[in-house]
Amino acid sequence: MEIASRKSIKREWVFSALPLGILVVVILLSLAIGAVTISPARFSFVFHQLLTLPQAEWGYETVIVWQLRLPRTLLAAAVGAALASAGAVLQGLLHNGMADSHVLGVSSGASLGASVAMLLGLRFSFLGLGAITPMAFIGSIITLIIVVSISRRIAGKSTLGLLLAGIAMNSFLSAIVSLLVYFSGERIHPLIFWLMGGFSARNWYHLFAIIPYLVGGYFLIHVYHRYLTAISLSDATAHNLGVNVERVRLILLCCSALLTAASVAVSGGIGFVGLMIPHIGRIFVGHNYRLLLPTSALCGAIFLTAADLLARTIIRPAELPVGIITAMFGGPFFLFLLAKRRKEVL
Amino acid sequence: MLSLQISNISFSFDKPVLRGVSTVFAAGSFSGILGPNGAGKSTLVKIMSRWYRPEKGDIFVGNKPISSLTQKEIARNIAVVEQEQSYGADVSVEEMVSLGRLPHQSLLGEESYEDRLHVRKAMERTGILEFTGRRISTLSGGEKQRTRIATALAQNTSILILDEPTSHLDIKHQAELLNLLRTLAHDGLTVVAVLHDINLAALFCDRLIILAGGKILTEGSAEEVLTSQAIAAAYGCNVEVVRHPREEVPQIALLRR
Repeated sequence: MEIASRKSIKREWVFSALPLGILVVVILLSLAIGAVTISPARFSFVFHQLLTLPQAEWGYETVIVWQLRLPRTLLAAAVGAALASAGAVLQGLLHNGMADSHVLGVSSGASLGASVAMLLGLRFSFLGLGAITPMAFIGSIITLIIVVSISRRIAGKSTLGLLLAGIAMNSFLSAIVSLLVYFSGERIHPLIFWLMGGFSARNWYHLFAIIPYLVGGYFLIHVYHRYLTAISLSDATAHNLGVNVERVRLILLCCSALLTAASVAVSGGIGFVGLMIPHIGRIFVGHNYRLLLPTSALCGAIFLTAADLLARTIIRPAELPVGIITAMFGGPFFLFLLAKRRKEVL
Repeated sequence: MLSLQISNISFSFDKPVLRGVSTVFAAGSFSGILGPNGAGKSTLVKIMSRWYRPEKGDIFVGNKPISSLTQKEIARNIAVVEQEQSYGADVSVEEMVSLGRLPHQSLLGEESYEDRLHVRKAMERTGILEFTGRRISTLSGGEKQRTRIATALAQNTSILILDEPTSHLDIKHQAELLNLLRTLAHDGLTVVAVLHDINLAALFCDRLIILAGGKILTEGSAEEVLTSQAIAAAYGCNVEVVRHPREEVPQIALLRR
């Protein structure tokens, strides 16, 4: 008896390998293109230097790639993967294709937490990783709980209730952050720089500071992928299949808040990645989270790496905040979703 | 093979919905729960699946109370097919049926050969093998219902509970579905279905229960339960009980007044 069809296994391989290949290409482009563009011939020379010579003997191109572009590119890819995964999880858990950390105000909550940490100059360290990410996490999880419970109380599970609660919370928290900026005196510059969002002047430290949170959060979500698929169908379906829905929902909400918080802590608020990318993932691999989760993560990494590349090359040598690029794509996409949304289906 | 026992269940929302309901569904039998709208049938199903916790009483699987079991353990014993509902995601038929193996899988474990075997068997049994790759949003009402039942069968439980499984189905698909449930019961599964059509219930079920006003009005074989007095008491309408022309079961004929 042939149990798993070969066609579907082949299809899975194609859809796993394809985004991975595209990501590698986008990363290489991001390393090569910028204020100084490195030709393909010079690129192999740079790699050769990286692998064989001590740092003191590197040429300027190698230094640019290693110290500026590689950490920045990998950070953009990691944040893109994290935001897209968080969006995919939120959309499944809340049965709502318009859910996303940015739309729900979770990013603003993380921003507020991180701003408070920066302004108070909090120096405590959690797992050796500084105070900003834990504070951003606290901000995001509190916001998520408030938005979801308010919308459920007011409007049940309707899309509109969730969106309105998210928009209200977003405005409220942004106002508080603005207030903090207004009163922050000489500490204002780093805060404003960070709030603008993006990957400018980010280095290896920023990447290493968030990798444990991203890997931990993503791993936990992956462990629960079957439960997440069941819950995304309906709570009752998942319950009848033996899932402790409330507990799993809480764990996964915390994971998505963690991914958002770690992303916001290093790159400020970057919108629409989590909203858009899971929908694109569903077009390719369907709604089963076993494939949707890694595909969304890969597509998110591709999208944000490419957006960052555009942001720093479109008006070079100056840079645009990457949030402008993501919003340029995300805004119209959001309107398209709203217009399409006659049926209450993801 | 396990029986399902309902023991003195009481439950209320704003007002009492179920009041001291007790009965036993014998192992390997097909029981139909009948009753007017608002009688508490769906609530009883949700209590049997532990979606609602009863205020009083318990449900026993064999001799184990489900209040002492985890949700996963319950799902290994009881499979529930809820009323027709819309889904928030659009998985393929095969993916949906595979979810039926969830109660048997560990968090980190992969899908085993045995899992895939059960999924395949469940799809074969419900006749949905020819559209395993289709998305559930593209299925007709009958195909969707068969997919949901296949998911429940893949759970490989001793007890199967269905809430109005024949609604939205045409008469051919109703007959197919009820024949399947009857076969499953005779193979050892304890099948309990909330049904609206009294005549179909009399034709296919081994045992009937009429629930009215949150209590069991009467229970037993179709012969014992289907009387014009019982129907009048439960539904408040006049019927004549007649014989089925071919099968040895009573049927009801509705009177205009």
